[in-house]
Amino acid sequence: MQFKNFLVMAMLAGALAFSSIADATVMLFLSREELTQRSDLVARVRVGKATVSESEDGRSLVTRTELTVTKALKGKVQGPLVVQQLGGSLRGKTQKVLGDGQLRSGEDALVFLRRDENGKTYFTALALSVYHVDDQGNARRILDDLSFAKYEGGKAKRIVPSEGPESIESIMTDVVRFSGGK
Amino acid sequence: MKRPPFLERLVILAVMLTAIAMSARAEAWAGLEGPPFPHWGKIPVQYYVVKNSFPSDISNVAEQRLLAGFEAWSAPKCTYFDTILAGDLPGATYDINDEKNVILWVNKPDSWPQELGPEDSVIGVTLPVWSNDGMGKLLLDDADIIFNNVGFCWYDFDPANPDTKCSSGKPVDTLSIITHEQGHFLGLGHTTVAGATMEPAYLGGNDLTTIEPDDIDGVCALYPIGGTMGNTGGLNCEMCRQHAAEYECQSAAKSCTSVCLDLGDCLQTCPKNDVAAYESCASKCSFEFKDGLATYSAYSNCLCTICGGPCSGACEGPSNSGNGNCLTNLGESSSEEGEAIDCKPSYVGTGGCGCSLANSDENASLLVSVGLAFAALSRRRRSS
Repeated sequence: MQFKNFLVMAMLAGALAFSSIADATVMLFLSREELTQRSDLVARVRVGKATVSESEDGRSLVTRTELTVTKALKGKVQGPLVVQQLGGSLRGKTQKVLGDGQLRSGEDALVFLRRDENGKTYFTALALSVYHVDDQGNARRILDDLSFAKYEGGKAKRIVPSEGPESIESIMTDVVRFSGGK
Repeated sequence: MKRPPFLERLVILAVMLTAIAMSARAEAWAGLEGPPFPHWGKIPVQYYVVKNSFPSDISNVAEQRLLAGFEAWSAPKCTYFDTILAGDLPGATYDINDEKNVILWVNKPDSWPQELGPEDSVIGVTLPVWSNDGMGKLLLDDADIIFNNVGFCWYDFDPANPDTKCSSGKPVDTLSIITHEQGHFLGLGHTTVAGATMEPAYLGGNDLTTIEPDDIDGVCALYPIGGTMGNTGGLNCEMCRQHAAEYECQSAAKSCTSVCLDLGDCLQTCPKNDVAAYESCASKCSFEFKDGLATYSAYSNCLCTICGGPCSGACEGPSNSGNGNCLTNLGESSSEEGEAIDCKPSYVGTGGCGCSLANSDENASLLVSVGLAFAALSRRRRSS
């Protein structure tokens, strides 16, 4: 084996050894285009206060997080935007939907949302729906609790998406393009 | 001897470091969160199924597959994890307050819950609920497993006919998902070990009713027989040896929330090596968090009472042969081997039978803290 090939293989082995994959909820991977098309609203937001309460039917905990839209890329926003998620922590009890998106108060994020007939807003596809944006304008998703599959020829196959930080501007450009803008 | 070129040496070093890193990660299993890892306090864990939700293509095997999956998780000799199918709950759904762990499929014409993602993308979700027991442990209260038969169709993989699947949607092999989700049900997260059941992989058609060494490490770490991994002894007095907070005092532990937990946290900061200083500190804590005093006292009282008596369960091993220390409620300790433990609270180390609270020095320290707090709080209540 040539030394260069050995070098490449060693680097690949190292990368594989250190890659951290997580799963819990099993779902199909959705491309950025699919995410955009399935969303009623895609927006860059500043995350505000989160409140946790019992759901109306008392069967689960519900976290409602206030979002301030800094730039809407698809859809229109009227009034305050609140995203609703199942789970949260209340009176010492924690309920978790493994693989759901997690927002931190004060953070800059790009979110993919959909609304139901009652006007409630949800993430379009769990943690796939949230890009966390850092001070340098780099965005990344936290997919640790998701396991992905994809159908090829009628058969489900494992997908391990390898995502690194990406420019938020580039993601926003994609979203605008996929939603029919320029 | 000629030295290899710099770049070559660098690569060799990198490979060696990678090997070291990989060996250090031999135990790659993870909990749902933590540490501390959420886990069940009471074993066997009861669960219910909703038989009328079983997809038609697997209706005759679904229960059998669920049982087989759980059996795989409780099979290793090093774990006391166990489950019991408590029955059928027609019409039941996920609910954090029903104190029932339910496994069900969502079927058409119902819609897949919006909060759980797109109905044509999410195949299965486990919804664990846990709470802090006030002793630094996270105990699972509820866990429902929901499978999606709205956007998918479920079939039972047949090795003799590997191409036979359902046709009413995207096909999902039952076993491939069930055993994996049951791993989450018991408290496991993902692993980085290739081939493990808890690896993030959905490989349609694979038989996952067996679990792999890394999965076994995980379940045995969360529910170890004898408190140590790798112990291959049979089940012996497990109910008795587990933390009283998780069994006899579970109800009191669950009642200890919010301000009661604050009181517990405050007491943890008090110096444990000086009784006078501890009592002073505990007194301040009890004043600051006085609304939690009653529930905390009930909890610590339960622990001290329960653990003051000998084990009431039948042991396969020698009764009360624990190799641990017996702690008085003021933190003095003495060795009590082979005898019933009559001081309170008591602490049994590795092996044997006894109503132990803990089996590590760290937990023993916690226990001393509880004992001291109880004594201090009792005195305070008497004097007020």
